[in-house]
Amino acid sequence: MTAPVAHPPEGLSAPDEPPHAPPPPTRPKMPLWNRIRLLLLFAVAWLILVWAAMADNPLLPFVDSVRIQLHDSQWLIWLAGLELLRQIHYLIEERSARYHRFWSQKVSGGMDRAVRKRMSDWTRFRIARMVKIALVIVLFAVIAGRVLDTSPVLAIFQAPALLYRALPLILQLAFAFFFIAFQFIGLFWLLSRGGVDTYYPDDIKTRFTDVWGQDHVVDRIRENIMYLEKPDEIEAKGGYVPGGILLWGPPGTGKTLMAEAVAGETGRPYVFVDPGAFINMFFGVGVLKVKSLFRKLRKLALRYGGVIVFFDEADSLGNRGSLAQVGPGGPTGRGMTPFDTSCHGAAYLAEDTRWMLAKNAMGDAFVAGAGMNGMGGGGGMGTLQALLTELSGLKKPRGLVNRWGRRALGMRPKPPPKYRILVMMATNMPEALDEALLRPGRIDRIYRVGYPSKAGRIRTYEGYFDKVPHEITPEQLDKLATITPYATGATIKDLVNEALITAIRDGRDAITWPDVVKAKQLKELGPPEDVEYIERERHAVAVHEACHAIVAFRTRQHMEIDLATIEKGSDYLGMVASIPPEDQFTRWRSEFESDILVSLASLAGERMFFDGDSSSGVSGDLESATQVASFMEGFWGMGSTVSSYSTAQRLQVGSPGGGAARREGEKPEAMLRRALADRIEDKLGDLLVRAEALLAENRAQVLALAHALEIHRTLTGDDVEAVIEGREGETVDGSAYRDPEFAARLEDYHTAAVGAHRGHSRMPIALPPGRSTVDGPAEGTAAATA
Amino acid sequence: MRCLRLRQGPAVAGLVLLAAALLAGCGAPQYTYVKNSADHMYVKIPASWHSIDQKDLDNAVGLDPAESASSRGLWLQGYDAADTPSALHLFGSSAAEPAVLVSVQQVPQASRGGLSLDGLRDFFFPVSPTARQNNQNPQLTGFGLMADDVLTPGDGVRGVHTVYRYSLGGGPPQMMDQTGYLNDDASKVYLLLVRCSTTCYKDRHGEIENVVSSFTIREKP
Repeated sequence: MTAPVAHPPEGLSAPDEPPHAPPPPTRPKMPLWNRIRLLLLFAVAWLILVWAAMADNPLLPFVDSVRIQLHDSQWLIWLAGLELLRQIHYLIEERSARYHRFWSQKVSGGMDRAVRKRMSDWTRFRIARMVKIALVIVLFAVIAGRVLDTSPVLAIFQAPALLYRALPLILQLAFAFFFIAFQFIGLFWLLSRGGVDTYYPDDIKTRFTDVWGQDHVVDRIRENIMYLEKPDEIEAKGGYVPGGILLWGPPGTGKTLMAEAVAGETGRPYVFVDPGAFINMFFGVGVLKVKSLFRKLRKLALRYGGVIVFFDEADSLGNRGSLAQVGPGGPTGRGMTPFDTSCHGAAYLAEDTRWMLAKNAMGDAFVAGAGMNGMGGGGGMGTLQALLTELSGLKKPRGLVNRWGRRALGMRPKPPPKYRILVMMATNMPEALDEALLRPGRIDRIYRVGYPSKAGRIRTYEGYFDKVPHEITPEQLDKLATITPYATGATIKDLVNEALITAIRDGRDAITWPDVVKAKQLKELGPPEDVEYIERERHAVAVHEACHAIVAFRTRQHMEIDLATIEKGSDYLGMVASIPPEDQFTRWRSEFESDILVSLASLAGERMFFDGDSSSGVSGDLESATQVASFMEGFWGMGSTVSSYSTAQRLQVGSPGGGAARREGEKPEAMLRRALADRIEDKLGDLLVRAEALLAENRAQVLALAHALEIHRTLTGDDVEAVIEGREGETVDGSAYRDPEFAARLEDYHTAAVGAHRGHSRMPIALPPGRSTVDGPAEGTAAATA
Repeated sequence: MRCLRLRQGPAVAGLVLLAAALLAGCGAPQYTYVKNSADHMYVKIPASWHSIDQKDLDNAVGLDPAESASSRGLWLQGYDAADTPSALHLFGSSAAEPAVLVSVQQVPQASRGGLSLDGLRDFFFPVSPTARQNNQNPQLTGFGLMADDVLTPGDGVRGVHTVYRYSLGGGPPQMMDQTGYLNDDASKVYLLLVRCSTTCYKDRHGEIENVVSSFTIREKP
């Protein structure tokens, strides 16, 4: 035995290749078909020649034709013989390992190596392809030559004539094909129409001056339009024109109006894309629509030097749901009130507090960005992707002639002209948009069209009031803007219209302040349910709400009382609603504390006025108070400790309150409460005592306000203040409550009500009548004396 | 081996079949299949008869060798059963073995109207009574008409088959078996002439009959 030969390493196989196996000692067995297919081909070709000779001569019998072709077409026989030899060679290779080794390694292996050394893979492929094509042509030529009785070379030149003769049949088949295909082409063409409206300059009369209260956004959009109109200014310096704007914000804040104003202001065509345009019955129609839309946009952009396209409700384009994503600025969710409806919602709380509670009630507030994952939505398969491609595909060369023709002539395709397309989108669900849509290059600028500022609201109110007859003074307008902090263009218009309807119903021509107040209450509270409380319950509800209102009035400086009511609505028994007098963006410890005080006032008041008894109506109040207190203690550093409770729990370091680590599956807030329970309870207890003290000091005012509520049922913020301060208000004369004798009557009435409450009996005395500044004897009097 | 035979059975059977087909074709064909594909004329001639040299034939007919077959509008071929084929056997005074002339002639537009069945009869030798009466050639003697049949194979083709006897230039009497066809628009004349001496004609009547009956014209491909 010789020393082992150093074999070259086996090497790693490429990922898409099976692992290397050692070459087999003999040639692998060939399937029967592979053995005979060439022989069969030759046999068939030869038989065709035999047949062709017979077809050309009616006298020629088969046997003689065979004999003649054996002589005349012996080249085929020779080829078949060669093939037979080859097959015999293979057969031997399959049997004999030595023979196989000799041929595969010495002969063909050596040739293979020599060829590889001289030619690249690409050259070999091209040569092999040419040889194959040449073989096919030669075979065709020879057979056609025999069939047509000419030389093979001439037969090749006759091929076009043969083709020409076959043309009618080919055309017929082609027609049949197109007849079928056109049905679908036509159907899809028809389906891909519509959903897109084009407006030319001066078609739309809306201007930027019609957009009120969103000046900062309008200024930015003006800038975008300026760049579209005069792109040279920015392009000369090497910049590029921002091509996409997203307007997002709550409904009714004027996004669509702004887009219309853009259409009205600009001297460019304006294409409006219907939100439903991309919702289709068939796959692919949306893609066709996107493509035809952008073809149109490019045409318009070239013709008019620029074009603006507006996608309204862009969330209908849908998203691919790839990431749990949150829109710019976090999930929007204002106006959601998933509250207990036992007492009065949480309308007396500050908006931000309410919002925080809402988030909490919605689910896990501690996971940032757990917004709605806007899976699905609109477009259907591929539509969004097509849109994305078109948005970023505007810079590539286009056109058949440009791309193929010029390249065939050896020229480089011309770059496309600068299509100046300004894409505008509007949505109130930015979190439902696909992230890829929002990247710079597609949407360059994202503007939040938020609630209008107070100045904007005043401007909007002015605008709408100026369109109808009214007697509203500028001071009243200012106040109205103050007490409607989250009004949008749409709600303001609605309010003005409602006030006008109220005035007309009362037989007046112009809107007055009480009409506005009435309209606002109707809009905010809905129509009252017209339920008559029994007297002792009415008194209890009135006292409950009065407690809230008194504490709010005494402690809360950052909010004003908007209204107080004991009219039962669809989801509350009574309500004290507050509003922030100014736009304010930070929240303070004192404010949260007063929020808690206002929440606890109901429990403190009920206990105090009903001899320690209290109703279940305070459950929602306590929930809110506890939650705010928990966040103050554990998260905001507004309690006795500084560390953030959520971080401490996440890092398993315990907390200053001595709480244990979070248990498996435990909700953070539950854990929070357990660990901080004592401190929170202490805090709430302190605040409850403060609320009690406050109410004890203001006992007379509580009873006065409760009386005013019982009589008028609904009081405006101004009336509430008038009653508490004992002055004359807008609709209620509070001066009567300064009278000690009247106060004593109220005390008596309250005592009687407590007695009736305890005995579940009827009220022994009637409600003392009150005084109104507007309309004579109050409505409550009749009911009370009845 | 047994196993091998079983597995390779179909292949072996295929090879055997191919070999059988080749063997079946091993013999030479019995006939020479003469055809003019362009004009759709076919005839089969026994393989033992030889083709007469084309130049020889053209000279004997008096064709201009400079002109091509297509330009002069005449296609013709000759076959001879004698061991040394010669055009003389076709046009000379005596042919001891059968000789065949087959031709297709394009008829000029102007003379198409004058062609009749008698024209076909009298193409080589005066056969119709009128032609014989007008015959000025003293070399042609001893006429005898054996057969005269009008042929209508269809598609507007009509023709006449005549068998007659003449002595040419004082030689032994010769039998002429002549078939002529005229196509539908009288643009082509197809002719087949088989001649040999009367004794030969009697002896080899079967062969000659075979050749004559195979003469086929197709108006449509």
